[in-house]
Amino acid sequence: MIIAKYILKKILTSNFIILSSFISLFFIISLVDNLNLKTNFFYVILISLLDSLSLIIIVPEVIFLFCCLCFCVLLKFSNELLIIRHYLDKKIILFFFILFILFYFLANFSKSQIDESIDQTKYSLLSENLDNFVKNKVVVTESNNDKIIYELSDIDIKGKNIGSIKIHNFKNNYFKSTLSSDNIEYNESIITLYSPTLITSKNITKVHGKYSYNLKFLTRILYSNDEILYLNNYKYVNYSYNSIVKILNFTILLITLSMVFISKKILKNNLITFVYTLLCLILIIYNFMINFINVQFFGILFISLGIFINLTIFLYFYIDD
Amino acid sequence: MLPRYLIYNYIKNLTIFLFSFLITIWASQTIRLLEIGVSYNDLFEIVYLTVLLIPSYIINIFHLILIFSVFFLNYKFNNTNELFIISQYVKRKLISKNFLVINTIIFLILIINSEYISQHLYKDYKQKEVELRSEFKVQVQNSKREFKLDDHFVIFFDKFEDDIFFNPKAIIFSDDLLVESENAKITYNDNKINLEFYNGSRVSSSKKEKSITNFLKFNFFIENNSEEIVYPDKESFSVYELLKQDDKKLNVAGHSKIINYILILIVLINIHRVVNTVNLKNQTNFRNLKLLIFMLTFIIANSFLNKILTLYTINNLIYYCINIILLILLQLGIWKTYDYS
Repeated sequence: MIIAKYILKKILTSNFIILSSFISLFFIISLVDNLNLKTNFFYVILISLLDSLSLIIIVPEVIFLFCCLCFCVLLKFSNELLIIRHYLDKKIILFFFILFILFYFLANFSKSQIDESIDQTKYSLLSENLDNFVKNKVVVTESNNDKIIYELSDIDIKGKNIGSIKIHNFKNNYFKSTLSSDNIEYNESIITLYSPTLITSKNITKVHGKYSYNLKFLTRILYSNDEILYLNNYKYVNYSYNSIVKILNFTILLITLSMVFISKKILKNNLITFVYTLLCLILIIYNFMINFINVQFFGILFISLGIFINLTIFLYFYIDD
Repeated sequence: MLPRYLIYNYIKNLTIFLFSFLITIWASQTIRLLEIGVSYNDLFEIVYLTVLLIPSYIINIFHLILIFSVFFLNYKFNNTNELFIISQYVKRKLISKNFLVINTIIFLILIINSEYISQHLYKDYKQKEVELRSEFKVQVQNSKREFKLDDHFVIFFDKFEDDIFFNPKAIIFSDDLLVESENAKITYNDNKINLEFYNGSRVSSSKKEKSITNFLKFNFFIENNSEEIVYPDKESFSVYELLKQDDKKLNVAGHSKIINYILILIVLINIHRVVNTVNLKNQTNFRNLKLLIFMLTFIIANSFLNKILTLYTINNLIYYCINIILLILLQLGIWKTYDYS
């Protein structure tokens, strides 16, 4: 129990050291970039802090690698790692790491939501300087065989105004109608179009009166940094084949990283630590690449090969200890 | 022999920390660019572009990297009791002398990097960026089933093969058009991108025109009018060039760079004090944390001064006076924190 507490304390310390050092570095970089913002200096500091957080969230696997390395080095200097490995089974140490892996996993999994909240907070702080906003957006919603494309132009968040809107309706992949208006009102989730023009494949009519459209997550859409948004992605987390593969790869990668830095081989000499760290970096870069490269042919083979390589490396480190 | 061992470890730690932080910064910048989907989304092109940016980050973060690496070195030496042994056999003056020599070399390398290498690479980066913007290099990702070219148009499609979009629904922003057709072929030559839609309809809903037209073939092209001019940033100039600029922001960046050099110099001068601190009564961590807070406070204060100098609230003389006072206070703080007596 004492050793368990000690290990947990050390993992926590290494996480704290690495996170605080990276936050301070990213903070300085962001501060230098944000000084040109036309806002109060206190807000500049807050925005830089938020920027540094969003930069960290982009690369949780790299941060985790340095946390593991820091944990290993902290315990290696005083030979504590050797003692711990003597008394505790690798699986138990790995279990402690799993708790932290869970934290990084959640950070990675909810990356876009965290990023979005950071953006919203940033923009609410920047209420005086809204030049950076995306002023034109395209929102796509799909249900069964219906597809609706909303074209929002000249969005003015400060004045709570949308310049014009065009709503294109498609059914079974064919054009059905377009509704356009320059006189719009909106609240949290409803857009009201006054005197819109309705264009169908047969005629064009000016409609007198108002049309109301229920567009959920409208505030999030307006504050988002993206120009093209898919509303279906907001409604539910899309557990597509690709995201399951990404989650699987990410989890295997983090477990492998933690296993590398508690292995007995790493205790032998510094050169092995150096080589293992380089290997881990290459493994992380490889994982970045398999997440971003979309192959046109042999896609399934490419993805399966990625998982297979990750699993092989994981098994190698597990068995070879 | 022992001072050399100390210097060797110092250099080793500094290199490891510098590269670790730079790799992380590079990775985050690359992924951010890839995630926002820049138009020239060629992976290796972006990797190469972001590598060109890395040297220009060093000047801004070098002081922190320096202190992080010596904190770590000090922790290591204290844990292995090496520091205790070294202090028994080597005089402090000799250690300081050795550190002075190596820190002078480090400072010179830093100046060469910030005044020559980083600018050279940054200029390359800007040039490459402009070139990429000006050439139409269209790459469509089938998995996204959407293709957007800057502010010109966006196409939603079912499949893309051999430069043909199947079931495309295109919004052409410049002409306020919606075009849907059975398929569309994209062709591009040096300065033009051409979209040919077959068997479809075109809906215009602009203020001037409201119409719907069916067509067998509809052609749309855009010419590349982007200017191939490189607009320099503060990273494109040396200190001397920055100070000569008429643009206030660039000018302030020059003054800020000078203060940054002085700050790095102060940290380098005091490095041996941090490394040499024997951890008595577990006080080192607290001392190191104090130094980190001092540094961060100075950096924030300096940024504030940069901001008000840009806004003409203070003049150059006041800027330098306040910064020098702050630097003196920082030096006094370091002396007090790492007091040998």
